[in-house]
Amino acid sequence: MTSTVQRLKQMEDKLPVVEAKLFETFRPVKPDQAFVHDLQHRLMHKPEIYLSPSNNTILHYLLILLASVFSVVILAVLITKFSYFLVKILNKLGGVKYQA
Amino acid sequence: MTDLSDETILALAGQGDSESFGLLYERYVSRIYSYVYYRTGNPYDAEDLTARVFFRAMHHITSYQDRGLPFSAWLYRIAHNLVANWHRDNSRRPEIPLDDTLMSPPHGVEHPEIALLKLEERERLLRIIRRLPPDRQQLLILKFVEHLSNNEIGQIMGKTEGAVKSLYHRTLNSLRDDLEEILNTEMLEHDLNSSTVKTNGG
Repeated sequence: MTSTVQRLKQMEDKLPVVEAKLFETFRPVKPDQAFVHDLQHRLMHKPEIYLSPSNNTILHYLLILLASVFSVVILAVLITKFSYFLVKILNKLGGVKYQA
Repeated sequence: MTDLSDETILALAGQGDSESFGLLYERYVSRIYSYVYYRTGNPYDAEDLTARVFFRAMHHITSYQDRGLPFSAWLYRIAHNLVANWHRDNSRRPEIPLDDTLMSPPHGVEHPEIALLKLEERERLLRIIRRLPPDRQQLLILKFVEHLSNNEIGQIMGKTEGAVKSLYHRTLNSLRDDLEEILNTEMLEHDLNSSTVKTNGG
């Protein structure tokens, strides 16, 4: 029992050592001054670029929409061309006259 | 204007005065950078996340509500959330090595061997700290880098002073156990290597 108490006491005594190690480990760090000035400039003069990520999102969706419309048009043209070509072949084969 | 209190500057910044926000930025940029730096371990991500903290703060400054907490508490919370997201996004990537400047030996004239031992010890401790849960890391950084009191840390972390004290004590215990375990393992490895060398030599 006494040994357990002593062991706990020893363990507790080691805590200031850990604290001292932490003081030694965490040294103050300073940001690079060029970064500090650059960020200040960006904050003061061009915040809209960073503050409006939604603008990028809107542009993103617009591009997707444009690409979708373009794809549909291309697909429609291709289907028309293909059906026209198909009708021509069937007509050449003779028999019933098909009209596109 | 630089002598004004945070509250006065905040009121001006809340009305869209960018110069006032600039003053707040000057006051807190180093502290936020230090915090993020120790949480990420490298200056590149620290700069990127610091920039995001201030852009987010600027974006929401008009809706900032004074609830009796220091302005820094608000900034630290933004930083904490962004760092948490960063860790989540990077969780599948390999562990980022600690930055060289973080590992640089302390200034002053010191015997190279002692300096190297101290450096190794520091590296070991930082690795252990980076494996701690985020709230414990936050607590240690606020205490040892920012030198904040338990009350101030509690305000930032949304805990009572007693809860901060308790968490701090548990963190120290855990660090002590981890350090001892690592030291024991290293001693064991050292003994094994020594005996192997003796066997081979004999």
